Amino acid sequence: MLDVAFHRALIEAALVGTAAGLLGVQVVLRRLAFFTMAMTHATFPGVVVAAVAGVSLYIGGAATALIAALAVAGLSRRHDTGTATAVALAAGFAAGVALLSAQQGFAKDLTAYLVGSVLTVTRQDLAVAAGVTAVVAAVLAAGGRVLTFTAFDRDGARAAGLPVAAVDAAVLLLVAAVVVTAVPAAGTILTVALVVSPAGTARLWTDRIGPMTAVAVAVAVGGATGGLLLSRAWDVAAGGAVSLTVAACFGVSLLAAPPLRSWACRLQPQGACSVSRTATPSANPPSS
Amino acid sequence: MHAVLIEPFTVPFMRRALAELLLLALLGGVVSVFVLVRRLGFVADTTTHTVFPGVVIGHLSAGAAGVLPGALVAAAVTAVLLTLLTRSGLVTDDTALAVLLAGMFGLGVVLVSRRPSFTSDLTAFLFGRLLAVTTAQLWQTAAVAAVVLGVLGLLRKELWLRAFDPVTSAAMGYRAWLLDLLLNVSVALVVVAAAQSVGTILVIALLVVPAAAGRLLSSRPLVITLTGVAAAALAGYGGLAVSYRASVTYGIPLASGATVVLVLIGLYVLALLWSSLSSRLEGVRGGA
Amino acid sequence: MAEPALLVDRATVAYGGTAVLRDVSVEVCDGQTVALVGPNGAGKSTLIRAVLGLVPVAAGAVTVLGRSPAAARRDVAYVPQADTLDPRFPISAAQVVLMGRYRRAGWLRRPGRADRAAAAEALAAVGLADRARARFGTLSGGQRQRVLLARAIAQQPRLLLLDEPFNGVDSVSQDALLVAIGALRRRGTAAVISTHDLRLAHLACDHACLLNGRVYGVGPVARVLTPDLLHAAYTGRAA
Repeated sequence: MLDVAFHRALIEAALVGTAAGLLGVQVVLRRLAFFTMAMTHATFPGVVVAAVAGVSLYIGGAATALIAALAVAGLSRRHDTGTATAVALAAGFAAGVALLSAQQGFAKDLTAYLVGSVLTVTRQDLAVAAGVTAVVAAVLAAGGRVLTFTAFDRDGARAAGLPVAAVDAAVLLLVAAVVVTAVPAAGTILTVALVVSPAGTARLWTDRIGPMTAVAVAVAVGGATGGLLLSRAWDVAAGGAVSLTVAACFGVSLLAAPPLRSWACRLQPQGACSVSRTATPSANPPSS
Repeated sequence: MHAVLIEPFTVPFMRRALAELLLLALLGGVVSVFVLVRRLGFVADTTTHTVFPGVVIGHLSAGAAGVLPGALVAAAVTAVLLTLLTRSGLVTDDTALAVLLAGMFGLGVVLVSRRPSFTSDLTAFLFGRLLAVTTAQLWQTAAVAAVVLGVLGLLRKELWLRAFDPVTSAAMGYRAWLLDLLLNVSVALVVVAAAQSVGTILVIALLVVPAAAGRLLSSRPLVITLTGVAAAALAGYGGLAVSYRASVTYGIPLASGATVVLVLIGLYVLALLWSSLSSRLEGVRGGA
Repeated sequence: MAEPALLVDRATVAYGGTAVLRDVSVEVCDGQTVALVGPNGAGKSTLIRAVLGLVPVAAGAVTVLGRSPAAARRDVAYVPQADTLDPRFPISAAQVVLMGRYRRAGWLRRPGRADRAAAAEALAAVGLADRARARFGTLSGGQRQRVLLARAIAQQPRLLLLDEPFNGVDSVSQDALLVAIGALRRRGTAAVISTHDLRLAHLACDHACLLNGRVYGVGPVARVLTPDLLHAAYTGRAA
């Protein structure tokens, strides 16, 4: 019995890890980490209401995630994006907590929400995760070049006739979809960890999007399943173990990647590569 | 009216809770202005999560007396790591923050999950125990408020210049890392002061929403600060009164911290409506 | 003859192993105004940052008022491009100008009455005394640029560095900037103005330095901004 649950948990971790790793590269390049964080908190009131009303948690989470995304977009016209995001995050979380506190079994539910309950995933959960992962993979495969172009050079993309606003909205929707799928099983913090840390790790090793995505998926899936196994071996919370594992990957890469890359650089003919210290791959050096 | 607004505060523990909230309103109202102009919303959110492992380690090693030192150490580690990571330029700030947030929170979860009282411990950290605030905790908060307000008061012109025009600030010879570190430490101290009493959920709202509301109504720093402090104080008073009334009269156990935030968000929405209404009126008058 | 206000001696500035500026030599004396002319990416801003001591010099030397750039900061004022600053920032024009007095007031002290008077005078010098209480972001681009110049004036510098001050500036503000820069020159302030507008370089400056990764010409405006040298600098050819 326990093994069935654990096997399901491993599959869920691998699926969510794949989706998060794939999308994470876009999140890191477009600086959407805080937005992702806000999404995880904004799904909270929806999940609580859905649980009380007896409808699907995914529908409840998606509804409030959408409201929060619209709120961030609207408030960004009055504040900088960070402030707008923080306001939406605080409002969403407080609403969820207030709603939840009016119920019984408050503390336990909240804990599950924050750190996940990956060992209780059902077959339906797996199906939803597989579906969302497939959608993310399909969108990235079909629109990868457009996504990169719009992330890197907005004005240029606009001049080339690309629908920049629609692409932005599509990315935000994908983030919301991955968050809504991942949070019930994985919890808020683990979701953020799986989306951002593997992609951040990959960013340290390469400037090119293709390899970056491959490394991100590998770190996310490896970290999610490895963290799960560690959590069972040491009897600690699965969500915490996974986010700690991927954070460790990032920490090691932070120390190891720059010296290794500049060493690899020196082996190549001059001018063939450089270790960028800038945020966007192949962005211009800060000259002029 | 009397029953809602005055009666709750005839009970000593409610009076202490109110005093704590008013102190935090003053502290949060002022600090949030710097958070706003330096765009530190995500930094503040990160700090609320990274203090957690410190609280856990402090509690595990020295019981209740270890919480404050543990939180202080974690806050200091966070402030230093934040300043280092954001200055390294290897990854963008938001990625570094998300990894730090998820990694350190994960560490806290792993440590706390080994304890049988896991869920209630986690809940206490996230919500605090506002109604159990002691006189000693009030003094701690007052001391933190005095230190933070003193430092920010003395350095406000340097911090303001750094926020408005970082290149000129550096050209004038102000050390950016020092100013950043001082502000990050101030934010962390607010989180530490508030974590025990009101929990981390309230803190992020307190560090962002007051100044955001004030900014909607004015562009003068002093007015923004005063409006923010007033809004936070009003929300503290109103939220406490409402949650008390809800649980005593109607038997709905509304979490007091979350209720305070919801009232604060309500005030923010009022400011939003007021500012869009007045700008629309101005537009009509300008057009006529 | 006293020390020149600015002496750049065969300076090389590099970012991550690539040289952005190579072997640059310029001299600016008191009361001289030097136009820094070159295409986008020529290293104009980099040279200004090197003079401010914000980027290290890999080889050669930058000497400001006989001192190292970091040691001379109190007597150097920098005017950034107005559109690099957040227009929503909650700050009034007068408060921006007052920032020029911060270093004089020192850490921890509030600017006093003398500082406020100097700031008001500087704002009047750029013709914006009546806009003191206006929020910085509500001013036009040209007016914002004038406010930033007023801040530099309030600093009472001996060397003034302006980064593309005429970019996207209307003609009224252009004139006001030219007048204020002229007044500073008569007081003996040395100035470096980066620009790619040749007409304004002629109007505002007496000397010019033609730059594109290296120096293509330096000296009186009429002798440097010639078609031949300009062509060489903008196409990056040896001249």
